[in-house]
Amino acid sequence: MKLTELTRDECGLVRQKIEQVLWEIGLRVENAFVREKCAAAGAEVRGDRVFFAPEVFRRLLALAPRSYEIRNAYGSSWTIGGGKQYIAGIVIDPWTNSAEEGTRRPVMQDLLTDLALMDYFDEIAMVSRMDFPVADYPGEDSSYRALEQFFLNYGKHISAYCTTPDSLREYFAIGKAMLGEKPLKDSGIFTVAVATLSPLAVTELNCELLLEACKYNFPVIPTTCPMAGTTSPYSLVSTFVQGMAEALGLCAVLQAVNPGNPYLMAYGPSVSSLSDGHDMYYTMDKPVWKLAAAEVSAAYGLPFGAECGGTMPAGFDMQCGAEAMIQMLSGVGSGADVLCGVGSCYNANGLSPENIVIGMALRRACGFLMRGMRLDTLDSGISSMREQQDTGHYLMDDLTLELMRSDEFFTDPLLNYMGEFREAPTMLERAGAQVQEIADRFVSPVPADARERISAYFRKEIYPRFRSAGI
Amino acid sequence: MSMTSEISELLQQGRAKLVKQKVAEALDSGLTAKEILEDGLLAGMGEVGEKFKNNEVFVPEVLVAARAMNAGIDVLKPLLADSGVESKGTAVIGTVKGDLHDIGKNLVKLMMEGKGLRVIDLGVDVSPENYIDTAVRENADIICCSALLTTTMTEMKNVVELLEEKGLHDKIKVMIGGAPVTQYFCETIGADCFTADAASAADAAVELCK
Repeated sequence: MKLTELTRDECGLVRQKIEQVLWEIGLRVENAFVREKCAAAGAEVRGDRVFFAPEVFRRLLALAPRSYEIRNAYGSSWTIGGGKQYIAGIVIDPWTNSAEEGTRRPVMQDLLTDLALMDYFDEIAMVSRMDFPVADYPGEDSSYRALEQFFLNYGKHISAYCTTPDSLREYFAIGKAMLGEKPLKDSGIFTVAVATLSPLAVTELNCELLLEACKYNFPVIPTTCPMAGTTSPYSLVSTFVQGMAEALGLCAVLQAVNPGNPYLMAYGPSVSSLSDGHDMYYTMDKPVWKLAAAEVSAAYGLPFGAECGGTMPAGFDMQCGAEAMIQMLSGVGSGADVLCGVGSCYNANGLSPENIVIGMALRRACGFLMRGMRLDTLDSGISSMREQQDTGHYLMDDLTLELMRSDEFFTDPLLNYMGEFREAPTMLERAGAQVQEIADRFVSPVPADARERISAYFRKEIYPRFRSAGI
Repeated sequence: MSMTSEISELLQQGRAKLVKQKVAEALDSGLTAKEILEDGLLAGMGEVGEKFKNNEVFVPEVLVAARAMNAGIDVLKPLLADSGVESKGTAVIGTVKGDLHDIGKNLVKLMMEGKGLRVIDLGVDVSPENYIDTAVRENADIICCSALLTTTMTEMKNVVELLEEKGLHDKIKVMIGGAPVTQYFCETIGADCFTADAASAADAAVELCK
C-alpha cells in the first residue's frame, strides 16, 4: 500500500514540464569547470547557463545508481535504495524544545542526548549536525567544541551539511583522522549536501562542494528549498516543477562531472507567508509535494529521501501532534528510501529529543497502516467461528492464543492505551522517560583509537586557531 | 522437580490434559489431595495471578490456566471433602442488574478460585435481592459486584443499601469492580473494597475473608 499524489498521466505531464524547464530556461551554473563538464556530456552552454535537452537529461540521470552503499569509518554499511527504509537524523538545531524547560538554546548535553538517540535506533543510518554553538561553551570555539563531541560520540554515516568548501574540507580531514590508515576516497563515510539556489542556480560555492564530493566519490544529497511566492512561483505545482528541475538538474550536473556518482534525491519546498514575509516550512502543503516528489524520483530511477518530521509550533500541543503524524505518514507512505529529519519542530528551527522518540513511534504506527490487513488467517478465522458457536467468545481460541503476542494488531509502548478507565503516563511523559533511559545508558560507539585520533586532530589543528584554545 | 512443582508448571502452561494426568499420578504416589491442591494447583494459579498483575501473561493465558486448574480439581474433588480441605472463604459474584458484560467478572471468579475461595457465580443482570439471598443461603463472606457501564454501576449502591437494611453488612462485605468504577465511588456508596484488576480482586477477597 502506498500513498500517491499523481496519476501516471499526471506524473508524465509533470516530467515533461520539468524537462521543458531544464531545456528552455536551464540552470545557472557559476563554475566554469563544471559548465565544461556539462558541455562535454552533451548539454548546451550559453554564458553561465546550462541547458539540458530531454534526451541528454534522461541519459545523464540514468547514470546515477538506483541503490548504493553508505558506510561509517568503523566497518558498518547500509544500502540506500535497496528496499529497506532508513532514517536520516539531525542533531541540535538553533533551538531545543525540551518538555521540562520549554524552548531554549542548545547546550552540550542536548547534543549528547540527541547522539544517544541516533545511536539507539537501528533504523537511523545517517545523521547531519547543524553547525551551531552550544550555550554552555561561550567561547569563539564553541561550535568546534560541539563538532568534536559529535565526532567522538557518533558512529554511523555522516551527512555533511557544510556552508563553505573549507568547512567541508575540515570534515574530510576529520574523516581521515577517523579512518586512520584507510583512504578517504571511496570510503563512503560521508554524504555531501549541495544546494541549488532557487530559482534555478548552482552557485560557485555549491559547485565547489560538488567537486569536493566527486573527488572522493561521496554520495550527494541536494538541499533544494524553493519558497512559493518568493523564490518560486506561487502555485503548488509550479513550485514543484521548479524545485524538481533544480534537484534533478543538479543530479544531471553531478553525473556530467563524475558519471555514476551516487545521488539521494531530496526536496525541501515551503511556502512564504505573504502577509508578513516569513517562510513556513512544515505546512500541510509539504505532504502534497513530498508524495509527488517520491513518484517523480521513482520515475527517473533515483532513490529518494522524504522529510518525515516537522511541526510548526515549538510546544507540545495538538497541532504539534497532528502535524508530526501527517508529516510522518506522508513520508512513510511515499515509499521513500530514506526518511529525513525525525524530531524536527518549530518551523525547522527546533529539535526535540521527545519528538525524536515520538516520531519513531509514529513511524511504527504509519508502518502498520501501510502494511494493511493480512489475509493469511481467513480460513482459520472461519474455523474459529464454527467452533465458538456455543461458547460465544474467542478468548481461548487457537487463533487468539497463536496471535496474541504477534504484530497482528497494533500496540506501541509509547502510546497510552488505558483510555478513560485508568490513569496512565501521557505519550510525552513516556517519551521523556525513554529519552532519559537511552541517554543514561549511552556509551560512545566510536573505538578508542579513533577517539584518540579525532581528539588529537582538534587539539593540533583546530583549537590553536582560537584565543581560548586548549582542552 | 517435585511432582507438585511439575503440576504447577503445567498448569501455568495451560496443559489441562497433562495436569489431569499428573494429579492422578501424584495421588498414586502418596501425596494428599490437600498437598496437591495447595502446592500444585493453587500455587500455579497464584503465579499466573501475579504475572497477570504484572502484565506478563494475558487474559487468554489466565483462562487456559484456569481450565487446567479445573481439570486437576475435578480429579481431587471426591477426595477434598473427605480430607477436610476447607475453602478460604465464600464469595457470591455477579454482574449487576441491567448489565450483561461478564468477561471481567469471569476472570475475577477464576482468580478467586485460584486463591482457594469458593465462588458462586450468579451470572449477569443480577438483582440486589438475588445477591443477598444467595449470600445468606451459602453463608458467604463477600458479595462481589461487577459493572461495565456508568448507567448500571449505580445498582451497586442498591446492593449495599439492601444489605444495610437487612442488618447484614457487618457479616457480609461488598467488593466492587469494573471499568467505570473507582475508589471514590466505592467510598461514596459505602462498599468495602474496590480493586482495579482481577488479580488484585482475588488478593483483596482473601484478606476480606480472614
